[in-house]
Amino acid sequence: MASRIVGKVVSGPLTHEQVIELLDDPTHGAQLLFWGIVRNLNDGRSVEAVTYDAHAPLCERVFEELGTEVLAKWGEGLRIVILHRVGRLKVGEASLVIGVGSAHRDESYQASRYLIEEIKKRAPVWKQEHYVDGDSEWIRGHSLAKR
Amino acid sequence: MIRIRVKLFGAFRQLGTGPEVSLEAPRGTTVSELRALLAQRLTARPGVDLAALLQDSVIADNARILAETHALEPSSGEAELAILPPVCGG
Repeated sequence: MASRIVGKVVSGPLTHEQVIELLDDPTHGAQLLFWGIVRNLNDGRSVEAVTYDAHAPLCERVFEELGTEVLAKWGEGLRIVILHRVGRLKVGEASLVIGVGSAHRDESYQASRYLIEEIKKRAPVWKQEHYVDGDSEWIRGHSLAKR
Repeated sequence: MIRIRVKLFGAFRQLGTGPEVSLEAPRGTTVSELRALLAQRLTARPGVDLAALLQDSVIADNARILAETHALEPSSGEAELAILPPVCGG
């Protein structure tokens, strides 16, 4: 049976099947998948693609830490899958998938929301937006510095 | 002296001459001092406030973010680090 926490940085497309396979657990009555998708508009500018960059070893450690926190908060029986894609992605492509499996729906909803909010603040991932007008810009985010 | 290689990520990728900065510094150089050395080796670009970006960034090895007071004393004589700007995954 797969590990209860799987967190990886990947370069290929994210698929529904790979997440479902990792979440498989006969004791679970709920599976919740959150997909982060490249959007065609940000701050009023038309976006045609986004390049995702990541420090993969550290990022996968953060995913493991977040999964451990989730199991401590919502139960050791949960399963967590976090896959973050890197490289240049077109509008409509998935950059991130968070899968949570649990015995009942409430733990999955809470854990999934916790994971996406913490990933945005803690995972060493960066994105460069490429605009329809030909310009590109690295997006400012959350500092990892402890203040 | 030790050799320090710093991989560039995110916005820093456009401020160096390659994927990393390599420099020599005295053994025991702190992370805070390394940040100042990096300021001299990176090139500001229009629309990028290099000083502010460095201030909001952290230095890490492959396992953890290093404290500002951490002294670099690699036994091999070479440290492989990374500078991580503010993050925005998802």
